[in-house]
Amino acid sequence: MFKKTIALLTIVTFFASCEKVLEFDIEDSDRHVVINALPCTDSLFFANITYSRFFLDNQPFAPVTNATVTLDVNGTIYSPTSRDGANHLFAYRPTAGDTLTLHVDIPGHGSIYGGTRQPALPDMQPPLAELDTLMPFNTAEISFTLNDPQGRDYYYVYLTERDSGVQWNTFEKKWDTIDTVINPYFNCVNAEIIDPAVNSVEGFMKYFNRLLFVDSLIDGRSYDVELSLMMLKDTAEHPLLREYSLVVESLSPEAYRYTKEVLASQGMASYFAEPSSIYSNIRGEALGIIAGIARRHYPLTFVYKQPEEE
Amino acid sequence: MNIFAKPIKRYFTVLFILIIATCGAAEAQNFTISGTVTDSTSGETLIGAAVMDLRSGKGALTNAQGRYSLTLRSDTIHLRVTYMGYRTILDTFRLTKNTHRNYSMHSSMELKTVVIRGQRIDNAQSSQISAMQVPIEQLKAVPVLFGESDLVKALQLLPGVQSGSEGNSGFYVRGGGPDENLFLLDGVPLYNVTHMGGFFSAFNTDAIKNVTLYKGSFPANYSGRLSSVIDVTTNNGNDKKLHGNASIGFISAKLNVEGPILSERTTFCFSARRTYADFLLQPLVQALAENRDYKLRAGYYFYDLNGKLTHRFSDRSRLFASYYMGSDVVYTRIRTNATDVQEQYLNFDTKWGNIVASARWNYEISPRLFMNLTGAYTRYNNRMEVKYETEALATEQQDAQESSFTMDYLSKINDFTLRSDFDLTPNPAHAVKFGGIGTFHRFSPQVSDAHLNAYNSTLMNDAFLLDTTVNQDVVSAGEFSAYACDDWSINDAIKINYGLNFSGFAVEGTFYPTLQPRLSGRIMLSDGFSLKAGYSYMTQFMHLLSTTSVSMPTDLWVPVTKQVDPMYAHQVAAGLFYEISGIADLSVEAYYKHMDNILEYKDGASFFGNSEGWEDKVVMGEGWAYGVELLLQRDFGNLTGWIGYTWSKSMRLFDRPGQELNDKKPFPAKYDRRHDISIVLSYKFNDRIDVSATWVYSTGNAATLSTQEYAQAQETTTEYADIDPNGWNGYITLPGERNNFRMPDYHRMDIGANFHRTFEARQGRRPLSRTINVSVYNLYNRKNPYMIYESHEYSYKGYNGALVQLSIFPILPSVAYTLKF
Repeated sequence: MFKKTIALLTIVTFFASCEKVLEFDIEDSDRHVVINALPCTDSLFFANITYSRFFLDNQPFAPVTNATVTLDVNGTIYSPTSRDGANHLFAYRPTAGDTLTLHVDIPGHGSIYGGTRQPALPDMQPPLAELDTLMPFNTAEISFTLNDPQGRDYYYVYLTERDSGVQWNTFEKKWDTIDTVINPYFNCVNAEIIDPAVNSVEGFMKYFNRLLFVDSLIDGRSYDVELSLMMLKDTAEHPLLREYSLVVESLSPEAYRYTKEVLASQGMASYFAEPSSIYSNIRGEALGIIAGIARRHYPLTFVYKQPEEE
Repeated sequence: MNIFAKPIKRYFTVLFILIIATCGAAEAQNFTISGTVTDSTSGETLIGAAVMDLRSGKGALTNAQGRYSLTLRSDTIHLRVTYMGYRTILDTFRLTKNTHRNYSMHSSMELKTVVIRGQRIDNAQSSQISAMQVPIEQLKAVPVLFGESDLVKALQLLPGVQSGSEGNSGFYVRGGGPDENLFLLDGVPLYNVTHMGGFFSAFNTDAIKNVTLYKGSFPANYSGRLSSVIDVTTNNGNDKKLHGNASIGFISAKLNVEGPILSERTTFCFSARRTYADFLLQPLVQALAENRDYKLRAGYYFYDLNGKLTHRFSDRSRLFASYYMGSDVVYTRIRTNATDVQEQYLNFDTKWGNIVASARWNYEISPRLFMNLTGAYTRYNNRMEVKYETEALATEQQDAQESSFTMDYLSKINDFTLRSDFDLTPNPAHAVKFGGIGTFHRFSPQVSDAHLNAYNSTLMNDAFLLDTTVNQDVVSAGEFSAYACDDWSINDAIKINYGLNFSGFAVEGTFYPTLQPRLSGRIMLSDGFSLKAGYSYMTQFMHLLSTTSVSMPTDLWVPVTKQVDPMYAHQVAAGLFYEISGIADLSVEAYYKHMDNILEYKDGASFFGNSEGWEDKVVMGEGWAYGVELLLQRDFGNLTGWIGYTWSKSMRLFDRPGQELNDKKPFPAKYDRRHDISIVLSYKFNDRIDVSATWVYSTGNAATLSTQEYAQAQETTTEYADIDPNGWNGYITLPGERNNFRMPDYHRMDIGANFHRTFEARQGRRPLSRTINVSVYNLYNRKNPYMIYESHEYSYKGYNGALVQLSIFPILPSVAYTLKF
């Protein structure tokens, strides 16, 4: 044991000694103004206005405090009712079909603006959630039919749950019940994020498994979607004891492109790639996004799957 | 049908007429002397030995098979045969008819005489520019990582050749990419030329006889890569007696045996090498798993085997059969007692490498015409297998379920090649080469199998089955090449090498033909002082899809497609070559290379684990590189080695519509380095001790550093009340200009010493000799950058960001022991 410990320590020391902090004379180039707003049907509108930061700073993004912000909704001008840090709040709740233009004036930066159109709510019936206990793993299947909104908007589906014991297993898309593709991770962009800001109950974190439909699925047709969840019997709580909900969003084209590019930049492949520019529809001397979203929440109630008759 | 057929036929017709016309002019009452030059001890043929008639000044070099052909006027001939490290042979005879004369040369070491310098390709006399024949013994003397002599790392020390990152066998020649180098093993292309992620090359130096590096002005018989050709010839085998050597080093053991089989007519040579780090590190692996609820066995090793059989039918006819196999293997076995009723096994195995098999027939059709027919098979494959099994321990339990899941990933290339090469020496003024090559490629990139089987061990009923194969498509492609070239001595001062190579590639119903002219020449300005210049046009039909600068098994070779065109490169070079009499050779060479259709990844794209749709992840653009290379080399006497310096610049531009990078502005290539210095020196004190030292310096690698970050848009989940205005919602990196940042400069010194001892033969036993090699890599423990990453650490002052450099090889002493018998 002693010899093994010595061997381990030697190797760890060997490699640890090979790291050193470098002193580089890197210039902190000019900061950029960043304007972000993702107006959604279930929340009042707000716009987040900050400065970019030097990559080694690791401080919160500094708010822009001297900005004059107005929102044009179908020709009606709104001014913010309050400012909360970098967030400028408006007494306006987006509704489907609204056309929004955000104007921001910051001394020394000229006129900055960007716009979007609020998409319609997703068109679908509540999903069916079944639990199959015959498998080596508990498997839950969630199925629903999405009716494509005539190719105008984009769908974005994700599931929320209250623990991390569940993983995506397969994402099976069925095109008019004819085409079946089992290849979840290469045919869609997905990501898992942890967001402590959305704690729902007693300190539990919510985990989001996000599935962003690929461009080829935006084809104006309706299709059935099946999502499968897998969990080990021995380690996971019984799924019926948990709270799940399926969240389906329709995205404006700006939100779709922005979300897709952000998710791709956070994927494993991006560690081996040169950084890419993320889509921005803010005009003027600024970066960021204004993009409409419409969202539905479907709390899931699981039922036991009935064996198929032969 | 082929629109190129007529012009190409015309070009080749003109070339042949030119050759025939110039050859015929010199033809009158001439006879040809031909034969083979060999080592007297081993019978091994010597490549590049100089055979010269002292009276007329006409001469020839032996070819890759050790053969020469010299046509002279009927007269008394004073022939001189020289080769570096061998005693010069003088032969006087009367030439009255075509004559066959073989020469067996004695090593100068064997005769205890002063080393006689031999001919190198790049000396002042040759018409060839930007090429170098590397003496294998000098190559072995270079001190390297873990004491493992390494062909590629030694070549990296030459001017114009750059390494990748620390300790890596990455190979970048004159601003080109890592996939633009053609490695030939006995004339057959090798795809994977590295082991251990690039830290070692796939060539066992014990099996190598000769290495020639071309950086530009490629002779017409080479094609298929833009930037360099590394032509490696292996040993034929000793035809006098059985002998060999065995060595054991820091990470590997090697064995080399060669000798005659039954008679001198048939010889064999066999070399093997295997690392044993997996055995040595087992205690560490066990320590990692100790006191845990799983058992672990894991390791990594690589091996390579070289075999060659040679049979001499007559002085005019020889048959060679060669075989090479090299692989890297990674394995992991984990066994877990998951529950009281189940055991779980997880096996992960990865194996990747090459197999090359070839048969070659040399035949002397006439004293002036020599033929070489080759048939070859090359296979590169990479297989990864993950197997997960659960096994029931107590079958009487009803719920003791068993399952197995297997995932198999296979990527391979199979090449079948036929080639014919002819050497024609019509008269001493001309050395003509012509021939043709045809290769049938079969690419099977990324075939994946998944199999899942789950059942109850008691009831034995299958609960679920999955058996699927993804991406079974095999891409077939045909590649061919025809060439002709002539090395023409116009007069004593002027010599040129001119030729044409016509290559074509057929894939997916598309045919890419190219006609590639090659030209190089020299003018003797005075004795031992020459001016040389050359031009070459090269085409490349294959790309290497690579995720990182480190050579990974997931790197994939793919052919050009309808969407991705072949790469092209024009290169011109000129230089002065001076033989400083009795001291060294000095050369200064300048080059300019322009490359077209080279590939780069789009911003944000990589091939991490998946090459599907790779054509959409790359953009095509152009690149250019220029530089000056200076080389002072001494390859005779007790002090040998070289001092090389390169000043160079390599740029890229991607500004075609839809294929833009870096805002359409030029940017430095990843391995653009302004200065590169290498000093390699060996000194032989006596027959028992020799020492060597290497010092290298290069400008730091380029990297892209993005210095600004900005907030990612935050989305509500229900109401604005959920939003924390100071909450963390991730950030987006704002890209900077490509390769806008330089890592710290790289420099390192290595030293080594060889201690030789010979044991006299006793009682009929064969004499033995042993060599102990002691070397130190990175003598002054320079922390050279391997990679740089961004670190954010929390301290009492808050979060501190810093750039941290990771270095992987500190000072590394090593010892190797070699026994020769």
